[in-house]
Amino acid sequence: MRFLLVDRIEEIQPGTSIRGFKNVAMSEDYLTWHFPEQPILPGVLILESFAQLAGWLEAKTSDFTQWVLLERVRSARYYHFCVPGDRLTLSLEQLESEDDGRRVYRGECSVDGGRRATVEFEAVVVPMAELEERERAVRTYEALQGSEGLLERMDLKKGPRA
Amino acid sequence: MRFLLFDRVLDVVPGKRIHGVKTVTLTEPYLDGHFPKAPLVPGPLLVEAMIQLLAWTAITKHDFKLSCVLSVLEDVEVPPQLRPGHRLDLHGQLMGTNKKGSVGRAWAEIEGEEVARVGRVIYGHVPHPDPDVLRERFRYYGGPA
Repeated sequence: MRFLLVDRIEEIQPGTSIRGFKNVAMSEDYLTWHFPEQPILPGVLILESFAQLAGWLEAKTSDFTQWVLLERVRSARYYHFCVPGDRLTLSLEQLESEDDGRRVYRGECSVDGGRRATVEFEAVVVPMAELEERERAVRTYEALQGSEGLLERMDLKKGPRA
Repeated sequence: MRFLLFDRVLDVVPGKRIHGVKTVTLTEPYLDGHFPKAPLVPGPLLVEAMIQLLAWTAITKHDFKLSCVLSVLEDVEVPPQLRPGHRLDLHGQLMGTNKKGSVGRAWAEIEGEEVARVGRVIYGHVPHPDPDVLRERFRYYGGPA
Protein backbone atom coordinates (compact mmCIF):
# COMPACT_ATOMS: atom_id res chain seq x y z
CA MET A 1 0.00 0.00 0.00
CA ARG A 2 0.98 3.62 -0.38
CA PHE A 3 1.33 4.63 3.22
CA LEU A 4 0.21 8.20 2.55
CA LEU A 5 -2.68 8.92 4.85
CA VAL A 6 -3.34 12.54 4.00
CA ASP A 7 -5.02 13.40 0.69
CA ARG A 8 -5.01 17.17 0.79
CA ILE A 9 -3.55 20.06 2.72
CA GLU A 10 -6.15 22.80 2.82
CA GLU A 11 -4.60 25.37 5.10
CA ILE A 12 -1.30 25.80 6.87
CA GLN A 13 0.11 28.33 9.33
CA PRO A 14 3.81 27.49 9.65
CA GLY A 15 4.82 26.63 13.20
CA THR A 16 1.23 26.82 14.38
CA SER A 17 -1.44 24.73 12.68
CA ILE A 18 -2.44 22.70 9.66
CA ARG A 19 -5.72 21.43 8.26
CA GLY A 20 -6.13 18.61 5.77
CA PHE A 21 -8.40 15.92 4.45
CA LYS A 22 -8.29 12.15 4.48
CA ASN A 23 -10.84 10.43 2.26
CA VAL A 24 -12.02 6.93 3.06
CA ALA A 25 -12.58 4.79 -0.05
CA MET A 26 -14.10 1.32 -0.39
CA SER A 27 -11.10 0.39 -2.57
CA GLU A 28 -8.56 0.83 0.22
CA ASP A 29 -7.01 -2.55 0.79
CA TYR A 30 -6.82 -2.65 4.60
CA LEU A 31 -10.61 -2.40 4.79
CA THR A 32 -10.80 -5.98 3.51
CA TRP A 33 -9.60 -7.04 6.93
CA HIS A 34 -10.94 -4.26 9.10
CA PHE A 35 -13.44 -5.71 9.30
CA PRO A 36 -14.52 -8.55 7.01
CA GLU A 37 -17.83 -7.43 5.43
CA GLN A 38 -17.85 -4.39 7.73
CA PRO A 39 -15.38 -1.79 6.45
CA ILE A 40 -14.38 0.70 9.16
CA LEU A 41 -11.33 2.96 9.03
CA PRO A 42 -8.97 1.67 11.76
CA GLY A 43 -8.68 4.25 14.55
CA VAL A 44 -4.89 3.96 14.61
CA LEU A 45 -4.78 5.10 10.99
CA ILE A 46 -6.50 8.35 11.98
CA LEU A 47 -3.63 8.72 14.44
CA GLU A 48 -1.17 8.07 11.61
CA SER A 49 -2.94 10.66 9.44
CA PHE A 50 -2.43 13.23 12.19
CA ALA A 51 1.22 12.16 12.61
CA GLN A 52 1.76 12.68 8.87
CA LEU A 53 0.03 16.07 8.97
CA ALA A 54 2.38 17.01 11.83
CA GLY A 55 5.23 15.93 9.55
CA TRP A 56 4.04 18.22 6.77
CA LEU A 57 3.66 21.12 9.21
CA GLU A 58 7.24 20.59 10.39
CA ALA A 59 8.46 20.17 6.80
CA LYS A 60 6.85 23.37 5.55
CA THR A 61 7.96 25.31 8.64
CA SER A 62 11.59 24.18 8.23
CA ASP A 63 11.73 24.62 4.44
CA PHE A 64 11.64 20.83 4.06
CA THR A 65 14.74 20.15 6.14
CA GLN A 66 12.92 18.47 9.05
CA TRP A 67 10.19 15.91 9.75
CA VAL A 68 8.67 14.60 12.98
CA LEU A 69 8.16 11.02 14.16
CA LEU A 70 5.47 9.98 16.63
CA GLU A 71 6.73 8.95 20.05
CA ARG A 72 3.98 9.45 22.67
CA VAL A 73 0.22 9.48 22.46
CA ARG A 74 -1.17 11.22 25.50
CA SER A 75 -4.69 10.34 24.44
CA ALA A 76 -6.77 9.35 21.44
CA ARG A 77 -10.56 9.28 21.74
CA TYR A 78 -12.88 7.87 19.12
CA TYR A 79 -16.49 9.02 19.14
CA HIS A 80 -17.96 7.47 16.03
CA PHE A 81 -16.93 5.24 13.12
CA CYS A 82 -15.36 6.55 9.92
CA VAL A 83 -16.50 4.51 6.91
CA PRO A 84 -16.05 4.48 3.12
CA GLY A 85 -17.43 7.64 1.53
CA ASP A 86 -16.47 9.82 4.50
CA ARG A 87 -14.16 12.77 4.05
CA LEU A 88 -12.30 13.38 7.28
CA THR A 89 -11.35 16.94 8.09
CA LEU A 90 -8.22 16.84 10.23
CA SER A 91 -7.34 19.98 12.18
CA LEU A 92 -4.03 19.96 14.00
CA GLU A 93 -2.46 22.60 16.19
CA GLN A 94 1.07 22.66 17.50
CA LEU A 95 1.27 23.44 21.21
CA GLU A 96 4.09 25.15 23.10
CA SER A 97 7.00 22.85 23.87
CA GLU A 98 10.00 23.61 26.10
CA ASP A 99 12.18 21.09 24.30
CA ASP A 100 13.42 22.23 20.90
CA GLY A 101 13.76 18.70 19.56
CA ARG A 102 10.24 17.74 20.52
CA ARG A 103 6.78 18.81 19.41
CA VAL A 104 3.38 18.54 21.06
CA TYR A 105 0.16 18.50 19.06
CA ARG A 106 -3.58 18.45 19.54
CA GLY A 107 -5.92 17.39 16.75
CA GLU A 108 -9.59 17.01 16.01
CA CYS A 109 -11.10 14.85 13.28
CA SER A 110 -14.59 15.56 11.98
CA VAL A 111 -16.90 14.44 9.19
CA ASP A 112 -19.56 16.86 7.96
CA GLY A 113 -19.06 18.93 11.11
CA GLY A 114 -19.58 15.97 13.45
CA ARG A 115 -16.70 15.10 15.75
CA ARG A 116 -15.21 11.63 15.16
CA ALA A 117 -11.93 11.64 17.08
CA THR A 118 -9.59 13.81 19.14
CA VAL A 119 -5.89 13.18 19.69
CA GLU A 120 -3.03 14.64 21.69
CA PHE A 121 0.48 13.42 20.97
CA GLU A 122 4.21 14.15 21.08
CA ALA A 123 6.75 13.70 18.31
CA VAL A 124 10.51 14.03 17.90
CA VAL A 125 12.16 16.17 15.24
CA VAL A 126 14.43 14.37 12.74
CA PRO A 127 16.42 15.69 9.77
CA MET A 128 14.54 15.16 6.50
CA ALA A 129 17.79 14.01 4.88
CA GLU A 130 17.70 10.81 6.96
CA LEU A 131 14.26 9.87 5.66
CA GLU A 132 13.72 11.24 2.19
CA GLU A 133 15.29 13.44 -0.48
CA ARG A 134 14.20 17.02 0.04
CA GLU A 135 13.07 17.44 -3.58
CA ARG A 136 10.88 14.38 -3.38
CA ALA A 137 9.23 15.66 -0.21
CA VAL A 138 8.62 19.03 -1.89
CA ARG A 139 6.92 17.30 -4.85
CA THR A 140 4.70 15.24 -2.58
CA TYR A 141 3.78 18.37 -0.65
CA GLU A 142 2.82 20.06 -3.93
CA ALA A 143 0.68 17.07 -4.86
CA LEU A 144 -1.20 17.58 -1.61
CA GLN A 145 -2.25 21.07 -2.69
CA GLY A 146 -4.92 19.79 -5.08
CA SER A 147 -5.48 20.93 -8.63
CA GLU A 148 -4.99 24.61 -7.97
CA GLY A 149 -1.70 25.67 -9.52
CA LEU A 150 -1.24 22.20 -11.01
CA LEU A 151 -1.16 23.41 -14.61
CA GLU A 152 1.59 25.89 -13.78
CA ARG A 153 3.54 23.19 -11.98
CA MET A 154 3.17 20.93 -15.01
CA ASP A 155 4.19 23.86 -17.18
CA LEU A 156 0.88 23.83 -19.04
CA LYS A 157 -0.93 27.09 -19.60
CA LYS A 158 -4.24 25.54 -20.55
CA GLY A 159 -6.11 22.52 -19.34
CA PRO A 160 -5.08 19.18 -20.85
CA ARG A 161 -8.23 19.10 -22.97
CA ALA A 162 -8.15 22.74 -24.08
CA MET B 1 -1.98 -4.45 2.78
CA ARG B 2 -3.39 -7.19 4.92
CA PHE B 3 -4.36 -5.42 8.08
CA LEU B 4 -3.35 -8.33 10.29
CA LEU B 5 -0.78 -6.94 12.61
CA PHE B 6 0.35 -9.80 14.73
CA ASP B 7 1.51 -13.21 13.59
CA ARG B 8 0.79 -15.72 16.28
CA VAL B 9 -0.91 -16.26 19.62
CA LEU B 10 1.31 -18.17 22.04
CA ASP B 11 -0.85 -18.17 25.13
CA VAL B 12 -4.20 -16.78 26.21
CA VAL B 13 -6.06 -16.76 29.50
CA PRO B 14 -9.56 -15.55 28.50
CA GLY B 15 -10.53 -12.35 30.28
CA LYS B 16 -7.07 -12.02 31.84
CA ARG B 17 -4.01 -11.95 29.63
CA ILE B 18 -2.49 -12.87 26.28
CA HIS B 19 0.96 -13.33 24.79
CA GLY B 20 1.69 -13.21 21.07
CA VAL B 21 4.31 -12.45 18.48
CA LYS B 22 4.75 -9.83 15.79
CA THR B 23 7.72 -10.05 13.45
CA VAL B 24 8.65 -6.99 11.46
CA THR B 25 10.09 -7.69 8.02
CA LEU B 26 11.42 -5.52 5.24
CA THR B 27 8.80 -7.01 2.88
CA GLU B 28 5.90 -5.26 4.59
CA PRO B 29 4.28 -2.94 2.08
CA TYR B 30 3.90 0.15 4.28
CA LEU B 31 7.69 0.36 4.67
CA ASP B 32 7.92 1.29 1.00
CA GLY B 33 7.12 4.93 1.58
CA HIS B 34 7.80 5.07 5.30
CA PHE B 35 10.42 6.19 4.50
CA PRO B 36 12.20 6.10 1.12
CA LYS B 37 15.64 6.34 2.76
CA ALA B 38 14.86 4.56 6.04
CA PRO B 39 12.36 1.76 6.69
CA LEU B 40 10.74 2.70 10.02
CA VAL B 41 7.77 0.93 11.54
CA PRO B 42 4.92 3.46 11.87
CA GLY B 43 4.09 3.76 15.59
CA PRO B 44 0.31 3.51 15.08
CA LEU B 45 0.72 0.10 13.41
CA LEU B 46 2.63 -1.17 16.42
CA VAL B 47 -0.22 0.12 18.58
CA GLU B 48 -2.65 -1.73 16.32
CA ALA B 49 -0.63 -4.94 16.75
CA MET B 50 -0.90 -4.67 20.54
CA ILE B 51 -4.59 -3.80 20.66
CA GLN B 52 -5.60 -6.38 18.03
CA LEU B 53 -3.94 -9.08 20.10
CA LEU B 54 -5.38 -7.89 23.42
CA ALA B 55 -8.88 -7.78 21.94
CA TRP B 56 -8.86 -11.59 21.69
CA THR B 57 -8.56 -11.80 25.46
CA ALA B 58 -12.01 -10.22 25.64
CA ILE B 59 -13.45 -12.07 22.64
CA THR B 60 -12.44 -15.47 24.02
CA LYS B 61 -13.84 -14.53 27.43
CA HIS B 62 -17.22 -13.76 25.86
CA ASP B 63 -17.35 -17.01 23.85
CA PHE B 64 -16.69 -15.30 20.50
CA LYS B 65 -20.12 -13.65 20.63
CA LEU B 66 -18.79 -10.13 20.41
CA SER B 67 -16.13 -8.09 18.72
CA CYS B 68 -14.03 -5.16 19.96
CA VAL B 69 -13.82 -1.64 18.58
CA LEU B 70 -11.29 0.95 19.69
CA SER B 71 -12.70 3.68 21.87
CA VAL B 72 -9.87 5.27 23.90
CA LEU B 73 -6.06 5.14 23.98
CA GLU B 74 -4.04 6.72 26.76
CA ASP B 75 -0.41 6.82 27.81
CA VAL B 76 1.02 5.25 24.66
CA GLU B 77 4.71 5.13 23.84
CA VAL B 78 6.21 3.85 20.62
CA PRO B 79 9.81 3.76 19.35
CA PRO B 80 10.06 6.51 16.71
CA GLN B 81 12.82 4.74 14.79
CA LEU B 82 12.14 0.99 14.89
CA ARG B 83 13.61 -0.83 11.88
CA PRO B 84 12.52 -4.23 10.56
CA GLY B 85 14.32 -7.41 11.53
CA HIS B 86 12.91 -7.80 15.02
CA ARG B 87 10.61 -10.30 16.62
CA LEU B 88 8.40 -8.49 19.08
CA ASP B 89 6.83 -10.25 22.01
CA LEU B 90 3.43 -8.69 22.57
CA HIS B 91 1.79 -8.89 25.97
CA GLY B 92 -1.67 -7.77 26.96
CA GLN B 93 -3.66 -7.69 30.18
CA LEU B 94 -7.33 -6.97 30.72
CA MET B 95 -8.14 -4.97 33.83
CA GLY B 96 -11.87 -5.39 33.39
CA THR B 97 -14.43 -6.68 30.93
CA ASN B 98 -18.20 -6.91 30.66
CA LYS B 99 -20.73 -7.16 27.84
CA LYS B 100 -20.45 -3.44 27.00
CA GLY B 101 -16.71 -3.05 26.92
CA SER B 102 -13.24 -3.87 28.15
CA VAL B 103 -10.27 -1.98 29.53
CA GLY B 104 -6.69 -3.15 29.50
CA ARG B 105 -3.05 -2.45 28.83
CA ALA B 106 -0.44 -3.91 26.52
CA TRP B 107 3.26 -3.73 25.85
CA ALA B 108 5.86 -4.96 23.38
CA GLU B 109 9.29 -6.39 24.14
CA ILE B 110 12.36 -7.14 22.08
CA GLU B 111 14.53 -9.78 23.77
CA GLY B 112 12.94 -9.05 27.13
CA GLU B 113 13.23 -5.28 26.93
CA GLU B 114 10.09 -3.16 26.72
CA VAL B 115 10.09 -1.01 23.56
CA ALA B 116 6.46 0.11 23.35
CA ARG B 117 3.39 0.28 25.54
CA VAL B 118 -0.28 1.12 25.55
CA GLY B 119 -0.85 2.29 29.13
CA ARG B 120 -4.60 2.10 28.79
CA VAL B 121 -6.98 1.02 26.07
CA ILE B 122 -10.76 0.96 26.22
CA TYR B 123 -12.75 -1.10 23.73
CA GLY B 124 -16.43 -0.92 23.03
CA HIS B 125 -18.04 -4.27 22.31
CA VAL B 126 -20.33 -4.96 19.40
CA PRO B 127 -22.28 -8.21 19.08
CA HIS B 128 -20.92 -10.59 16.46
CA PRO B 129 -23.55 -12.46 14.47
CA ASP B 130 -21.50 -15.61 13.92
CA PRO B 131 -19.22 -16.87 16.74
CA ASP B 132 -17.90 -19.67 14.50
CA VAL B 133 -16.43 -17.10 12.13
CA LEU B 134 -14.53 -15.45 14.99
CA ARG B 135 -13.44 -18.85 16.31
CA GLU B 136 -12.06 -19.72 12.88
CA ARG B 137 -10.22 -16.40 12.68
CA PHE B 138 -8.65 -16.98 16.07
CA ARG B 139 -7.44 -20.39 14.90
CA TYR B 140 -5.96 -18.68 11.84
CA TYR B 141 -3.81 -16.65 14.22
CA GLY B 142 -2.63 -19.83 15.89
CA GLY B 143 -4.89 -19.28 18.87
CA PRO B 144 -5.69 -22.38 20.92
CA ALA B 145 -9.42 -22.14 20.16
